[in-house]
Amino acid sequence: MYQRTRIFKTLRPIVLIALLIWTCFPVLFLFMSTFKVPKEIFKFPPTFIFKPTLVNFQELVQRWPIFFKSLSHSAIVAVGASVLTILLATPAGYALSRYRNRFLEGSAFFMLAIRMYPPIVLTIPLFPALSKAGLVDSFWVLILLYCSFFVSLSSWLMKTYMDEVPLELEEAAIIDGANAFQRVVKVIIPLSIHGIIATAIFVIIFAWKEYMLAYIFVGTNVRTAPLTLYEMLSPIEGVSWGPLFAASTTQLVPILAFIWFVQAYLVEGLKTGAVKG
Amino acid sequence: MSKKFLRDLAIALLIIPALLPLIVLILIPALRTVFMSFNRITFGLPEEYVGLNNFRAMLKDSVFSMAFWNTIMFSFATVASEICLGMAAAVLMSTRFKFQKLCIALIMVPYAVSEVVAVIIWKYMLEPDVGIVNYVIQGMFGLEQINWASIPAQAWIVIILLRVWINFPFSFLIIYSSIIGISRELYESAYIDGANNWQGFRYITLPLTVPAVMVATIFGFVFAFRNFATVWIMTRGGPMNRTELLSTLLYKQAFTFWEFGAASAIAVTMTLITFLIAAYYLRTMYKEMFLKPK
Repeated sequence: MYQRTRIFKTLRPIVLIALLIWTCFPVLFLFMSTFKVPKEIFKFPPTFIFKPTLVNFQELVQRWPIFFKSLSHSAIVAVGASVLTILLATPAGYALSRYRNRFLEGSAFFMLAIRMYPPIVLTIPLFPALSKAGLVDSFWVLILLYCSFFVSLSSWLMKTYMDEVPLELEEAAIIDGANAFQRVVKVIIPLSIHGIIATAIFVIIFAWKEYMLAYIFVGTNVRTAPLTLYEMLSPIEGVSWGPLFAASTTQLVPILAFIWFVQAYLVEGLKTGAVKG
Repeated sequence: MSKKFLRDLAIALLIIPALLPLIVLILIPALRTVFMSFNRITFGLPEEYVGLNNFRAMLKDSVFSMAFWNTIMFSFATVASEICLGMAAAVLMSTRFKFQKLCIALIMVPYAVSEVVAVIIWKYMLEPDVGIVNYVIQGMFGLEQINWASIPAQAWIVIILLRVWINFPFSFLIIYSSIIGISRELYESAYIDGANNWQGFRYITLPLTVPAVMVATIFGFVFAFRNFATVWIMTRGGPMNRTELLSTLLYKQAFTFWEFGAASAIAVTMTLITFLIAAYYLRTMYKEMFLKPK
């Protein structure tokens, strides 16, 4: 909370606009260039008024049908990983919120500490082990890995949200004769739906963007969208920017729209997750 | 069966499914890298115990020391910029104004962008001769055009810029939520006593956001230290290993040269440094969880 002095009033809009240009201009510029004809993409100086065209999308559809397949793979992994994470983290969050014993306290700290492991470190032992298990280049390997990197954060998130469900509500349900299962389904889950939504959002955004683990563990049968984009960026005969922009836009727009709709949950969850665990 | 036993059983059944992937896919592999770092493990050959040889070879390797210092430099540069930018943005956004919600959403945009897409955009904007960035710095400031693909110092500037662009929303949000949590009365009473905005920032905002800045800094370092994608997609560690990070070197040792023992030595180094950075945070959390009266 600052006083609206004259300096503050003049300086703030200037700095804010500079900040917004910094964060948004690159994305806007990508969107614009997606609708330019290839000749105009590298016009020097860059043009801002032009006749929009869909040729880049047409070329993308013709030359890179695999891109759309990889988008669907990304979607499968994102949904699978978020469902699995929610299934594992909800009971864990409930236990962490409602009970207390040595084992739980140890688990809680373990979950916190294990998040610090750099994922790339784990690829060294995991790659040989998972290829022996026949899991490399499958949906499961990404779903399991993404889940294990988010299950601890998610359990903590769930715990934080469930802490806010008063015990009295549960006690009232017990008096009314509800068993443990009914209590969870009818009281806890509806009240901790925010935690579940926040978890789903985190995992979906992460899975949609993730490059490193996908690059190492999948690529032939299963291929996520960032991998196809990477491949389009590094061909030997030179990049064709038009279809690459069309593909980038296609990959980016759904997740931007998603974030726009779930903004409130995302901000709340990021705060809780970052500070509490 | 006693009631306590049943209760403990219920607790175990609730929490163990969540612990399982962490143990199988993180803890056991993490311990295995320690074991692997003492062996020579080359693809196709039998494993052989070599003691500290992997570490000795690693410390002698000039590419390793380059990657090590690069990683340190990269982490400091990105975290410092992210925190400063995040603080500035958070301070400006925390006093209410008309388009506050919209502005926050727009500042969060890079959070949605995959590293690959971010590199695509920035490579396009930085293209020598025809990119928009060169247009601006040549046309408006009369500077030489940048050629990041061949000049290491410029490659670093571009990589750091890109990384800060992707990551800054996270630092911003942590600091922002801490600032809006400070009570209004604190500021108001200071202003009644004649404090100006700078003093309000210096004596109220700054001291009260220290915990949030600490969290943002520690997480910033932990995440910068493991960063792989940005550099790999942008330069693959080139030109001439000059933008190599520990993570990219580890990747090359393991998946290009199939030297899993040598890669594990780097892995152990990375893990140790990460936990050294995180120690303060983990200790604070530990105290809060176990030593605070409930």
